[in-house]
Amino acid sequence: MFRRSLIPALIVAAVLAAGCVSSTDIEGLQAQLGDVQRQLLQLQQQTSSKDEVADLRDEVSTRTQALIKSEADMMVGLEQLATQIEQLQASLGDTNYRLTQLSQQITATNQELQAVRSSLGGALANPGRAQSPVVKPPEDPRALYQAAYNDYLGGRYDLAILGFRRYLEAFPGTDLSDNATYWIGECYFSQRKYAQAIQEFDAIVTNFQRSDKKASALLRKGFAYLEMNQRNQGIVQLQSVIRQYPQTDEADLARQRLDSLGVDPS
Amino acid sequence: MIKRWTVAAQTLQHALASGLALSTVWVSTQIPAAAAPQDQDEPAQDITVVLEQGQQRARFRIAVPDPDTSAAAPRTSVASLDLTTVLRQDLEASGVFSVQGPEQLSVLSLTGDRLRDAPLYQSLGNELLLESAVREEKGLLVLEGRIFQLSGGETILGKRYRGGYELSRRMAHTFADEIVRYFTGRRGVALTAIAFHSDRDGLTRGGDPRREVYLMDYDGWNQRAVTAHESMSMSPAWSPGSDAIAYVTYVENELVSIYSVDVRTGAKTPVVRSGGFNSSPAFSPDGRKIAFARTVGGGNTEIFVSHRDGSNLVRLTNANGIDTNPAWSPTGREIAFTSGRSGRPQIYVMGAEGTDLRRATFTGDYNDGAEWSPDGARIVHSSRRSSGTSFDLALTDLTTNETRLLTAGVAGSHESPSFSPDGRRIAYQTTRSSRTGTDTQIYVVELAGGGHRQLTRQGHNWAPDWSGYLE
Repeated sequence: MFRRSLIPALIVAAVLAAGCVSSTDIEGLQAQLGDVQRQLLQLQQQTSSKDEVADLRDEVSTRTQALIKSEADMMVGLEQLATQIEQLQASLGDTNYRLTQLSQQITATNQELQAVRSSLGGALANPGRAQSPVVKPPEDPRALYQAAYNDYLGGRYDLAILGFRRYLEAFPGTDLSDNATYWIGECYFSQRKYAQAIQEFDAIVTNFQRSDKKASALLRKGFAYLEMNQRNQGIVQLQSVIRQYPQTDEADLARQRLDSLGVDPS
Repeated sequence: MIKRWTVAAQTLQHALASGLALSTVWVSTQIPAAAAPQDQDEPAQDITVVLEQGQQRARFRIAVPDPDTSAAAPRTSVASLDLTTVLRQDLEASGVFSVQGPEQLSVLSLTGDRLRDAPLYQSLGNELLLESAVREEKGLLVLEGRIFQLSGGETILGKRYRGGYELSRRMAHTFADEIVRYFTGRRGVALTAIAFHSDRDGLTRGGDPRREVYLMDYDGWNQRAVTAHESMSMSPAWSPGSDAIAYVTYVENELVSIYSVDVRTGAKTPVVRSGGFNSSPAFSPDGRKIAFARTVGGGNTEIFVSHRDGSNLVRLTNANGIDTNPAWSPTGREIAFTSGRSGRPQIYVMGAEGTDLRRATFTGDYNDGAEWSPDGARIVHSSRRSSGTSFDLALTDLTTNETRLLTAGVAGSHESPSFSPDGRRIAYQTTRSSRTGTDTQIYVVELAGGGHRQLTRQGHNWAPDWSGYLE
């Protein structure tokens, strides 16, 4: 699942768009405000009539109100944009989920196809024995993955690790390979085998360039180091989460953890 | 579920068919002194049974006649009949047994000689017989119970309990749990409790609707208040050791805080009293942390976790949509919660430290209030019907993300489900018995059989949370 690549681009575009529209408005207003203030000063220096000063004061007040309103509008607009982005992100997540389901189905179908082909091949080579082809029933990748995930949820970590490893061996290079690796890491983490957990989280960062689990994996790696009392390593990992994935929830979590450690997040 | 039933069936088959008399287990148990039962609410006697999806599985058929009380003192006689009645209710409610009591057995001309009576019990379809004897010893009540296999006559389970008269219900519950454990390999839940909140106390001094946190035994008995803030105190959540309950309270002005009450002493301690509006607390399975929702401004609510004493506060979610109703998985590694981030409320699961968010529910456009099954593989939650504002109870399998409704076609709105510790039944709040649609009461539904049982009747009652096993 590779949802993250699109999100930063969306956010940048949104912020740029919002920035363009509003900055012209505000600059204009600010320039006008500056002019009015200058005139006010000049008038006061020339000690002209009090009415004129009062008029100008009213004008300043009106324009200030307009400026405040314009800024408020902009904030509302930004908030709406943020919500829209969040909903897009969520629906992208759903789409990814469905895509993953599909990809699992394709893997399963391919398995069946291969099994049928090999049995057909055998039948063609030995026409006399075509009646009893020995077809080994292919393992269903979905069932295998789900059983392993089920074991993870139930706290049967050794079984879960076995299951995910078998999945990775039997079905390499599927959309869920990074997830399976991640869960193996989580299983080790749950068993307090932090060094092994770190190995798996590393594998995600190096083997799955486009994985949406990279930020999570890096963060978990940092947490694992902290659990092992390797404070400096942990801090370095958390800081790199913030540097590499600044717009993510993981970066926020890394910041909070660094904060609780009394370390400057940057 | 199927596996467990198979095991139970095999156990019985083994006991029935092998001809091998299983050694009688005689365990003498002193019932520990517990808080004396207080103002008892009326028991839930009328049982509404609605059959829904899920097969009705064959139950073990057991005859439980009244004990012979001819030689007993009056108070012993009364206690023994009560105790046997509770035992019957527990066994029937366990979903494992189909019980025949004195009413059904009255058609038989029983002699009191077990060997001669066995064919008579069997003629009504019974496979098992539970004989109990209750007597008084040094001012204490003594219960001896034995289960016989009718076809061979062997004793397959024998137990002995002793305790004060005020503990007779507890004695029956303890024995029932042991019987269920013997036949299913898993302890029964007769010694568990359900926390909830109720408006039965009327109004606060300020005239607002008053709500206090209450407790009841698993069968609806012994309903008693555990808070008396004379304010709005709601959303109870048991600690994993069942020694404390966290809840939300408006007792502090200008602040909706989370408190914890010690169930034994009644001592109340503030846990979270910062941040303005806090809600839906949930203890982690190791009892060391509390997850809850906090409104952080502008209607935006997020999930936070703190240590049990309120220290080490961490914010786990960061979305514009509302994130609320956190629930820990049994392993403590995951937290399920409701999020509006997709535009509609759906249930998501994340790692307990806020990492690796994934959506759990894909059926229905409004899913809320998740609680995990004890095996961690499923969540139960409420799911709004496509037409209207009523909710159904739903079970979502977390490995397949498939959702199935538990109350399809049952009138009323059904919400706030909570699993029993054996995972066999669910407590929930519902308007099913309400004419006006607003009268909310607490019911229990058995997952396999689908029988619904009403537990509360006084005032309105909400947000049941089932305890773990009470030691």
